[in-house]
Amino acid sequence: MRDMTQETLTAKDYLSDIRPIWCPGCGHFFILRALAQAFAWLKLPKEQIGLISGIGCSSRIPAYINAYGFHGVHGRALALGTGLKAVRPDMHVIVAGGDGDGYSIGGNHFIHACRRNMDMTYIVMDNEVYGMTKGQPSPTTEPDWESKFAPHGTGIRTFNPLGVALASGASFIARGFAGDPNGLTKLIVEAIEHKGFSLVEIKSPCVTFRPEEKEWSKTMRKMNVVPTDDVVEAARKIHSSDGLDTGIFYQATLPVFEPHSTKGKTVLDFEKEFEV
Amino acid sequence: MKDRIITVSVSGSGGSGAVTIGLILLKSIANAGFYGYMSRSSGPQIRGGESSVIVSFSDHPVERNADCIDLYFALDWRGFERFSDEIPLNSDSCVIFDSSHDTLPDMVAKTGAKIIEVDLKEQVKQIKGSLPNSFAMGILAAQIGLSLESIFKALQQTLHQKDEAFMEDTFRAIEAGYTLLRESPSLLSNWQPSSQPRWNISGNEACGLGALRGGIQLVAAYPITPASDIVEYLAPRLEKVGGTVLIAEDELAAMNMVIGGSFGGKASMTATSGPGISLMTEAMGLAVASETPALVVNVMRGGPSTGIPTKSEQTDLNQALFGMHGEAPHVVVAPLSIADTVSVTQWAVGLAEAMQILVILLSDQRLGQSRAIIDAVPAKVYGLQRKVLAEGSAEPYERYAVTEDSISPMAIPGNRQGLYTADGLEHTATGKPSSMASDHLQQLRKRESKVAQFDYKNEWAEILTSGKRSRAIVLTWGSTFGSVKEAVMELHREGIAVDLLAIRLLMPLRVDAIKKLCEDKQVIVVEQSYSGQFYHYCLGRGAIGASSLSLAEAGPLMLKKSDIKHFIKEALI
Repeated sequence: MRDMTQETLTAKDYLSDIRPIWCPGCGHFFILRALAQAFAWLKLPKEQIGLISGIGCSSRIPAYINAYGFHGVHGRALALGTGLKAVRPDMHVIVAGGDGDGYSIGGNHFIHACRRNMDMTYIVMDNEVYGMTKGQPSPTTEPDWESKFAPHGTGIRTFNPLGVALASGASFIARGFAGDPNGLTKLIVEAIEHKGFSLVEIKSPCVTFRPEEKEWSKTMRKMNVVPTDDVVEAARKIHSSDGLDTGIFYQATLPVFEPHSTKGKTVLDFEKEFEV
Repeated sequence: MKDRIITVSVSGSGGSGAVTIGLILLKSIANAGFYGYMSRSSGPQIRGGESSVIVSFSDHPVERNADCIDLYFALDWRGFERFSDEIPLNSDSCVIFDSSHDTLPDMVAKTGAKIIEVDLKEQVKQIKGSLPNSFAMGILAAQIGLSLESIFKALQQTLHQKDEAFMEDTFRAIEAGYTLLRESPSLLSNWQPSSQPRWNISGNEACGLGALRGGIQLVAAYPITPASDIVEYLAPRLEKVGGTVLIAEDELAAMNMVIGGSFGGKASMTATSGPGISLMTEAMGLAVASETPALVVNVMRGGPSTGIPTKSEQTDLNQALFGMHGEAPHVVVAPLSIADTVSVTQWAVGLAEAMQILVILLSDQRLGQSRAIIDAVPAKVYGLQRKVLAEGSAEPYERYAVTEDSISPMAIPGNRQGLYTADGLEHTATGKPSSMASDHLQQLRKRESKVAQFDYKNEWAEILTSGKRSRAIVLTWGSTFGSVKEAVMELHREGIAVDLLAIRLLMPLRVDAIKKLCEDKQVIVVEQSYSGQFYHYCLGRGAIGASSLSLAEAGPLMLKKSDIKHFIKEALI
């Protein structure tokens, strides 16, 4: 994966000169930095990166990275990335977005992207809230979190992205924390290097609408275990975690969907089929 | 029969073989050197119920069914009432039915048609292993005057996978059916066989072929009636010319996959029908805003909601024109016939690529699922290509730069000089998100102007003039063209001068050109919609005047040539 013919690029070279719209202290800044670090570490040619996103605070990230990017519509980034990867297997397709974008409006695409297990990386910047629309509960928000949108809390249990990804067929499943830049960079590097669909679910504090999430820097912990390729073992780890463990929960070699197109025929061959 | 078109219909319950008879008839007609057109109809359940086919054939190209059935074979009468309004019978018709398990329905007896009863059960007993529909095939062939050879050849072409013993029994049954009834004079005796290279092709296949000719490399789609045949045609073929078909989890995904593929530098399309378009609409706006080429084929069916999935209507026009939020300039085209579908689809791919824009192609169930024997359609050269940023271009790159033709060179990922982020947010010329009034206006103008100033050449319409000074002009679009054209040509033969303008480019509407053609003429707008969507569109854009008349009829029944003719004549009084 490393291209030695490229000039040596530092993380800074992968950052564009557009200033992020994020609030000061937002966890997303650290994820942006870790992503750039990972690209630099892997020495990915900028023109071979396709960073695809949907809508939300986190989905603004393509503009902040110096590469090819697409800031699409809400919830459909994985589908857009799938289209790109299908016709351009040479590209490193990285899809990024938030918890609402990926797990709510884009939930169906999340399931089927896992199923397809195409060779791409999905980075979810999970702050457990809709930040861009000013603080509504998302699928990962606790049921008793009170907001204007849900004055008594949602009363709905939280979505378990790692569990859903495992059941749906993703072959690399990890949780990271924005407050651990080095650990996060390493996770992203491993996710990109993994052949297949890799999910990196990153807890990223929203200091504006969920200031209590600043506590994560004290409570999130590293999981010091070797990744398993056993689904049952991975399921046990995912479901027994309180959501504060970071690390790779599952990594396996599974069939990767890639179109098998050839160039054996021409359109003229097909026209003959119609001849009377 | 006066205009040398013979129309035959066959219907029966699911599995009775009505559709197979239609397909073999069409092939036999082709083998005999003639042209034909077959439409099919089934109940709303799509699979497993009754079905009917109507095959019209002639010694000249024919792309519609005649107003009345000459010869009708009922394999059984089950479910006939569902089709009865699509199988118009009158006292000139001849009806043959299997009397072994059914009696003649009153509604058929009342038409005054000539009735022939055959006992197919008795026939099947005489040849072991035979099926009733084989006898029906033979009976029909003899009534029409098709040779046994052309039938046998067609049968071999159609049933090539069946075993030899079965084929032999089938041939014997057809032969028996052929001699069952009293010999009748051949209906084809004065016909001239064609020596032209001809094709046997459905409208949906024609669309698939046009897409291949246009250079489509990615198709992403979700199954839907009546559009799935396009994907089924392309799936085994596109992958052999370097392309890919993606099975999407839903239409929202399909449209976004198309945009992703196109962003990657490959011409991409999807095929769907009304409900699918509704789901794709948000992403269609993304293609417009991000200036990513995309082709969306809508094989229209009856709506709203689930509507009539198996039957035709031209009622997604308003949706295609105005469905997107915000101001979203795009292109809407519609083919006029099966043959036209090949070229218009190829053209549509080119338009999307050349203008970096969303193109919606409106076909319909009648066009898509009908099959015809047509003259081979030569490939066209439109010279429409994507304007791509050259490798090694000078930096900085401006993805949405304002240019003379308002089309900016598009960088394809992999090009070192072209790094950019495509965006559905309003943006500056470089692609940076912006909500500034001046940036919005600049980009709105650019997107509108590239569509407005593009040269669509003569492809925008089909114009048929009487050669004399016409008092009236008929405007139409899509599959309705077939009946309108026949009506107008008949009027010409009667010495009534009427012009016909069939529009392929529905958006942007060539208002000035239409106005000029309609000048000093009574305008009659013909379409298959209840509310007159096309009429109101032309009126609203000022392409036609307030005295224009509208002949708008809801689907799924095809507008009849005779009704159109009558309407035009009345308008001229």
